[in-house]
This record gives sequence, structure tokens and C-alpha cells, in this order.
Amino acid sequence: MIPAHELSERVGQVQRFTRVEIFLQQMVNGLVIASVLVLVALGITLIFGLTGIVFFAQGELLMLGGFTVWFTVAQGGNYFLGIVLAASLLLALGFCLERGLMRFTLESPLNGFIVSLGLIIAFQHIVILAWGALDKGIDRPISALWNVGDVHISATRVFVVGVTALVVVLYFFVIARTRYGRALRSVAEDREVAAMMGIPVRRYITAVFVVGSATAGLGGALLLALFPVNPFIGANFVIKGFAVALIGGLGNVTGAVIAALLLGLVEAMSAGYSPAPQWTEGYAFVLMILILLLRPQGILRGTAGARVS
Amino acid sequence: MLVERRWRTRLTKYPAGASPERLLLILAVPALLIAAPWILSDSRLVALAIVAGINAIVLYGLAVLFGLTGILSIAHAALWGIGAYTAGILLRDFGWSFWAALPYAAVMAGVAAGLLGYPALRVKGHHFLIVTFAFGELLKLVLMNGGDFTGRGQGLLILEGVPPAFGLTFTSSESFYFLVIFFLLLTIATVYLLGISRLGRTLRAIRENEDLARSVGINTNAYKIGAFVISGALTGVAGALYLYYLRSVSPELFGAFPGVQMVMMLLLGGSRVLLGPLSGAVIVGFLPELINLDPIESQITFGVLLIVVILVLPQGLVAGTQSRYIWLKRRLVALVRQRPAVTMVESAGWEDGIGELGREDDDDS
Repeated sequence: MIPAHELSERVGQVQRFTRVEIFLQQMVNGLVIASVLVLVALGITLIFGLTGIVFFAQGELLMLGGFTVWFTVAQGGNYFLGIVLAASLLLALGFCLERGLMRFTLESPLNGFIVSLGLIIAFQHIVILAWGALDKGIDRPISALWNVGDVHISATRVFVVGVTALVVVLYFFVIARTRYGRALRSVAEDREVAAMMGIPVRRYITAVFVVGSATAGLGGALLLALFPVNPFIGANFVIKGFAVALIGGLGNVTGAVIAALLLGLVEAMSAGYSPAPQWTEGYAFVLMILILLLRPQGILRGTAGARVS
Repeated sequence: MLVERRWRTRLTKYPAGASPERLLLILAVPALLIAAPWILSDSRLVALAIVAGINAIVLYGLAVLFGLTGILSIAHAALWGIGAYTAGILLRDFGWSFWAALPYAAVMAGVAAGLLGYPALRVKGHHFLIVTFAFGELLKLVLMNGGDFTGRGQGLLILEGVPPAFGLTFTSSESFYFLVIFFLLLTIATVYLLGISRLGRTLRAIRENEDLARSVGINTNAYKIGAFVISGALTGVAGALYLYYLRSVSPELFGAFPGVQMVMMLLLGGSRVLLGPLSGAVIVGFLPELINLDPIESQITFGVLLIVVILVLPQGLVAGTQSRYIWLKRRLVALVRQRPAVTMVESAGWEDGIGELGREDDDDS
């Protein structure tokens, strides 16, 4: 809540936005976009790295996470409770999907992709059936507004970026420092040899689906804090998530993070400064096609790599 | 003995003998298609049939690329849109009627498909799939932001219908349906001839083992681009038909998700069997009517159906049905003749044109 005397001061300040302020605001926007993208891309890149399946349904999982939180808040629940619920629900869903469906497609990744297409169609329309096709939004869960110098940064944005950063750090830590992470890396590198070494490969694949789904659900929950969600956002985010995962190198977590930051900043700058902002959505596609044509393995090499003729 | 016969039929240039089932299909399917308006009494059902027919043409285009050449693409809705928008813009800006604009719609879609084919030479499989998804979304974006040329969000609106030709008018629903069936039968014939031709065999070779094909001197790049162009041209024709049916088109109809719908329809029916694309379009068009689902429920059903079909009958419903039919027939024959039936799992293929039905009739004599 902004006190009245500050409000009038703030109004006066509006005319005096400096270029630096706008730039910093866009940077923060970029970080927010990058956060959601990275949460989607982490699941995508890990699932592909381990199984070779192009799991397009990841976007729908994000959408489901967002809707779970919206539903919780709409029933009078707390937003943060909603986040926990979303992550848990998506965790369970990821487990069911993997055990129930995706494991039959491990031998044929193309079938896995087609199953994910079926899931997209089914999930999208189940949500439309349940709650309609219109935007669903919630009020800002954290209404604090901070002043850093002359720039106003909303605490919600900091929260979103902060939680994402925490998750990313957690991923890095587990993958790089723990023995589970080492086992994961070896499965990504060579499934058969890893199995021969005694690593329970199927269990790791299940784990990757589970964690990836939960992460996507978290992404949706965080997204809802700032923007409204509708049943169709899955398509948008999955393709950008794939763009990020591809640009960074499929299977490469560091690459995904870097690519997410890159794309997030590009989109924010385009939305803020470009004379033709309606093309903002297109940069992801163009960048992705360029990367696929010029350097298919991504900026930092992916584990599964791309099949280049 | 049956193994010998399989070899013999594979090496012949033309499909194996005319079995009763095959002849029945050759006669029955076109007859059913033509007789449909009288069978479907409701004009709403005829409208569904028109849309199913147009979708089927797109699916045959996609089948040339996926069933024959082995390249899956989610961009075919976008190619469809290119055909539709080309026909629309030619009418709006130059006054070219349907018949004049049709070849150009096919050409534009074919060219776009050919361009799309170039990334396919560099990246394979999943990565190309993602490229086609991006292509679909990108096209939608281009159409939305193309200013008044493309009509922005509302798209194009045309005021004319298809002008009369050969003494036939196309103003009524039924007559438009016959127009669509005409092109559909033409498409099926084209795809069939392609399937049994040398070009078709080459594409199949590329599908099965590209490196091997290249090692025997086949210019795989040229053939793949060619497959894209043919695929695109067929889809472009469907686009023009769609524009003249709806009288208005907008970018939402041609993005990545309609592309996913196309893939779903094709996979439901079966991409390698001649009747597969048609069946897929008919099932998706008429199932909601049959079991009384609203549009949203029907989409959920199709999503689930796709998952079930791909896991249980990966070749599609038509091929699965054919296999079951052959199996059943063998059992019955064996029962009647008191001798054991030989069970062989066969997969329907293009080699015999209208699928495998009746090939085993050779040993029934």
C-alpha cells in the first residue's frame, strides 16, 4: 500500500523517468521472462537429454500449475499454499504420466512425442471444459514496492526471480556435486553403459519426469503471480522453452540457463524499445531456427546432440 | 510358400492381383463418397463432410511427406493457410477466380514447403519437428502482422463463390461437396500413383535408410525437397477449397496447433495405408456426431484416442483393422477347411496400393 503523500510525489516522478530507469525496468522484466522460461526449459532439456523424447506437453504442465494456484486462490486459499499445491500436484502428475504412459515410448521417442501431442490436446481441453477459455488472474500476492535509487521494483518480481534462482542453484548443486547428479549425467551420456554400471536407469528417467513436471508447475505458479493465465499459454511457453533448451544445447542445464537469460532480455528489450513490438513473440522462433541451422548442438554442446546430416 | 509369395509381390512393379476385397474397396469407397449427400440427410452433416474432405486432402499431402518419405511435419496447417491466403489475395487484389487462382495457391504452398524442406536437409527427426512447429507459429505471426495485405487478426473475407465450370454451378452445399470430392479423388489417385511409381519407391528407400539410399547414388536431398513440394502443393489446393468454403479465413486457423490436429488425424487413420488419411479425417469429422460430444469433449476424446492408437496400433486404425480382418479371415478359412491357418503379422504398405487386403487370397483356391 502506497501512502497518500508518497502517491502525489510518485505522480510527479512519472514525468521524470530517466532512460536508465526504463532500461533497468526492462532488465527486470527480462529476468522475469527468463525465469519462467528457464523453469520450463529445465524439464525439457533434462527429459530430452535422458530419453530423447521431445516432450511438448511441458507447456501444458506449466499451464496446469498456474491453474492450480488460481483455483486455490479463488477458493480463498493463500497464494503460497497454492504454489506448494501446484508443485506437489504436478510432481504426482509427472509420476503418473511417466509410469502410465511415457515409459511405453522409451524405445521409440517419436511415439513419445506423439503421446505428448495427445496430452496437449487432452489437457488443454479438459481445462477449458472445467474453467472456460478466458484469462484467469489473481491479485498481486506481494504488494510491496521497493525503491532502489529511483527505480521502482515490485517485490513480486523479485520473488519470482529469486525462487527461480534458488531452483536453478539447487539443480546445479545436485547435478554437479551429488552422486545422484553424477549418475544422472552418466545416464544422459550413455544409457546402456550406465545401466551396466548398476545405475537404475528407469528410476532416473522417472525422476527426471517427476522433477521436470514439478518445476514446470512451479513456473506456472510463479507466472500467475504477475500475469493472467489461460488454457492456451502452454503452446507459447513450450515453444519458447524448447527454443531455450535448443539454443543452450539439449541436455545441458547451464546452456538452458544462459539461453533463457538471453531470450528473456531480448524479448524485454524488444517489447520496450523496438519500433515493431508486435514481432516480440517471433524472436524466439527465429533464434531457434537459426540455431538449428547454424549450430544444432546449441551454444554449449548438448548431451544428446543434434543429428546433423 | 507364403514367404515366396511375399517376395514375388514385393518385386513386381504393379500391385498384386485383383482380390475381391480390393475390387470392392475400389468401387465402394468412391461410390460412398459420391453418394454421401443422399445418405447424410442433414445439411449440417454435409457441411461436416465437406470439411472432412478438405482435411483429407491436407492429410494426403502430409502422408506423402510422412508416410512415404518419413518426415513428420507440424507445419502443414501453415501450408494450408498459405494456399488459402494466396487464393484470397489473388481474388481480392487481382480478381482471379477460384479456377484461375487454384494453380497458384498450389504453387505458393509448394514453394513454401520446398523452402521448409531445406532445414530438413540439415536437421533430422525431433529437431526438424520443432522447426516445423516454429514455422507454423511464425506464419501465424506474419499473417497477424502483415497489415492490411493479410487482413491482420480478422483475416480475409471473400464475397464470391466458386464460378461455374464445365456447365456445373457450385453454389449449393451439395455441389460444393462434389467439388471437394472431385479434388479428393484426384488426390487419392495421385498419391496412389506416386506410391507405386519409381519416385515413390525411392522416397520409401529414403525413409527406410537414408544413408543406404545415398550410398547407392540416390540424390536424397533432391528427392526430399521434391517430396516437400508435392506435399505442399496438395495442401495448397486444400487451402483454396477451404477459403471458398468458409468465405473467410483468419490466422488462428493455420498456426501450430491446427498443425498438431492434422498430425493427430493422420496418425489416427494411418499414414502408410492408402485409406488412412481419409479415415482419419472422417473419424475426426464424424465421431462427435456419432457419440454426441460437444467440441471440447471431442477434442479431449481425440487426444486420448491418439495416445491409445499410437501405443496399441502404431500403424493407425485402418492398418490395425486390416490386420485384424486378415487374421479373422484366416481363422475362418482354416475353420471351414479344417486345416491350420498360418499366422503372419503383416503390415499394410503402399506396395499393394489399396493396402494388404486380399493378398493372401492366392492360397484360398
